[in-house]
Amino acid sequence: MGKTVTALHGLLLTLGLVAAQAEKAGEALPNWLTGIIAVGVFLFLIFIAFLVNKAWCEDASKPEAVHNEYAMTNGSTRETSLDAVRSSEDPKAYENVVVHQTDEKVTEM
Amino acid sequence: MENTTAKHVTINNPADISVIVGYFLVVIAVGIWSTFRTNRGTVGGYFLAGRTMVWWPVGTSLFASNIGSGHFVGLAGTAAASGIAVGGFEWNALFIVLLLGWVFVPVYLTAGVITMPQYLKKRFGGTRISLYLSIISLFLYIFTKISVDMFSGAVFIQQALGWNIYVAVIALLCITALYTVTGGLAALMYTDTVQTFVIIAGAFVLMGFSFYEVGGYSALLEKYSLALPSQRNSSISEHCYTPREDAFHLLRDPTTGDLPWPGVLFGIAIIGSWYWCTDQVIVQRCLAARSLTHVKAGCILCGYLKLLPMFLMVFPGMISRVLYPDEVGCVDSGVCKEVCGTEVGCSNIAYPKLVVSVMPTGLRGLMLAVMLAALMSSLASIFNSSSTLFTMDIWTRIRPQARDKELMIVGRVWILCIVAISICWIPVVQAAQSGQLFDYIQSVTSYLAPPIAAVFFLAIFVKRVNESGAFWGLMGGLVMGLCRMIPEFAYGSGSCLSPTNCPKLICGVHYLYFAVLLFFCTGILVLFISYNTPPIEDKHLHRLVFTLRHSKEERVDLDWEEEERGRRARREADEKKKVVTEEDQIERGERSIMMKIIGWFCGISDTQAPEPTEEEVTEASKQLPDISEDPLWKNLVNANALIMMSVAVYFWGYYA
Repeated sequence: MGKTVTALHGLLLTLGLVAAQAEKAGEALPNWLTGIIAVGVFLFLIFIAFLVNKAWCEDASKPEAVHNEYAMTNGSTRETSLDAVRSSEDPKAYENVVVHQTDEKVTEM
Repeated sequence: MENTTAKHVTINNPADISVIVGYFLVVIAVGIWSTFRTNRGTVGGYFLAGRTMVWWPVGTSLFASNIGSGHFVGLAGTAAASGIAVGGFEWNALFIVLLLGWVFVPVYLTAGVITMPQYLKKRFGGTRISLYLSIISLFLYIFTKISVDMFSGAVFIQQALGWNIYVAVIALLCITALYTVTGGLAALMYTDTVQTFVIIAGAFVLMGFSFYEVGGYSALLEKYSLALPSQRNSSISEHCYTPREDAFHLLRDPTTGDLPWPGVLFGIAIIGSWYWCTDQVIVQRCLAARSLTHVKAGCILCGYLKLLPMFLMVFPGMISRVLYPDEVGCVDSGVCKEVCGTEVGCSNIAYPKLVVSVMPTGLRGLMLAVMLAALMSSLASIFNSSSTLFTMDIWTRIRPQARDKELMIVGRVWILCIVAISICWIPVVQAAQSGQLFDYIQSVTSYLAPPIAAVFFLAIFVKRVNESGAFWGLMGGLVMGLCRMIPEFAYGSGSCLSPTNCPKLICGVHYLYFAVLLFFCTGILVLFISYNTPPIEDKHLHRLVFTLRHSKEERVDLDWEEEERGRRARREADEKKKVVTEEDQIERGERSIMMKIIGWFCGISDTQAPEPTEEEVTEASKQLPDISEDPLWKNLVNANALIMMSVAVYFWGYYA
């Protein structure tokens, strides 16, 4: 994360320099520069939208996801849920089911 | 400059002719090959290509259906007259096509509909909205798409070949009708891939030659502002023939520009949403895809292809004005009449003039093939979609007991009717002010399409919107649009030399601003009426709105009664037919060979699947159309969409 931030800082600095020089010379920004600035602004807005989406919609979607999985297994009888983990090699064996880990991290006291 | 001799060069040398013949052979071969790949005898097979298309025919078909000869003539002509801002129409579509793939098509797919009026019927219930939409869509097809494409093709053929317009257009329409009628959507989509290659290859070649003639890109930038016609009399005001100062800017002044930037950003977005997201021609191609991921990938491909028209048509149009300022940039009415037959202006001949003058022998045939490709692909798509609309929405209302075979035949007969109407419309388009061709399409669309876009947006996103709100919103929008359209066409759009007398209150507002205004007024009207009338319950809306698109619950269809009536009528017809054919078979024996050949050609089989019983219908409705996506491909496609949007934003920024 630190490296990308430094790289971003470097990029912004160079762009700022070029823009300042162009303004000093009294001409409009070169076309390719306006293009790049537009892309930069656009990606920034997308980034903000992504953060907003993660912050707001994350809580709502998590319990829904679990609920959907139950709804998917039709009828949810014991046979069908066992069918979901039936091994492909031997019809009588079953795969090891991995218990779904949550993202909670337990910090050591 | 060698511009006097090249005016009516006919394409009559072996190189050109062999290229054209080769092109036709390839198209017909692909059309025939695709008839063997899909089953055309069923409604799903004929109208939706059996829902088996992968992403590349979807993408190329979207592009080829959109790019018609109207683009070559209209885009290049308007660019010659006023610069690159007209390319904003194309580059705006990059974003709208993503809106189509990510927002609209998932809802259409889960709704399980074939046509857009059908979607509105399921969403709102009742029949008046879908009837209005079918009629106005057919109207807009005939008057904005078909007539313009045909007229542009005619201009090109007239300039390039010197043929009689009617002969040329009738021949074109017949060939198009031939492969539309026989093949259905599958044939169209595969031939569209061929057409796209031809269009892009040919247009690139022309662009290369044009830039070479003018001396390069920077030479174009310098010379365009100096392209003044030599024959002008002093009574004509200077700004009528001088190239615009902001010719190389996409975003122009909001009050004095000919395409003001708020209009370009928002007005074109609204018109684009109607064209790409709610119109049968485009949506049908997405519905034919194999899965939602293929739809999205196809939309991205189409988006990338839409970057090209600016370079392939807009710049060559401007180059044409630089190279032939006296013809393309003519301003004196006598001179213009001599050059292209109309007094208003000759900017429409920009592209054909380049083809005739700049391209060497052999490649002229290629360019003619390009124009034919653009013309035929667009026309074929429009024919197929209007046939779908007519068959599924209007004919089934008149005769609900019609079975697959009858619907197939009706669909094909309707195409022949549309061909006849289009031929009759040619003289009208010729008589209209041809100098305003691109303006004419865009303004008619701006006055009639925004209410439809507004209703579709609200239908998908706002559950509260109900039938009365939508209907009266559409009617209000129509009235408002006609209030602007009728005076403007009655007074005539005028030209730089003789401006129109249309009162400023009505015609002073730019048509793009009017589109935005109409969109919001219709939206407000729809919401106002919906909130004052009873809502539609959720049980009717599962998988019909964006928020409920993943819902797996059972939906009580609002149009269930009408569908049930139709099913009952078809079951009764089946019963009657069984009795009749049993008697018939004993008497007559086998069908004649002639009937069999016709049946094979049109893909109509004799065996008709029986109308499903009530139990089968309820079982089938439980199998829901799948819009789930493999997470890996979903992320890949989303990332690609982001890249495409960044590229689009870069180009917008570059030319702003």
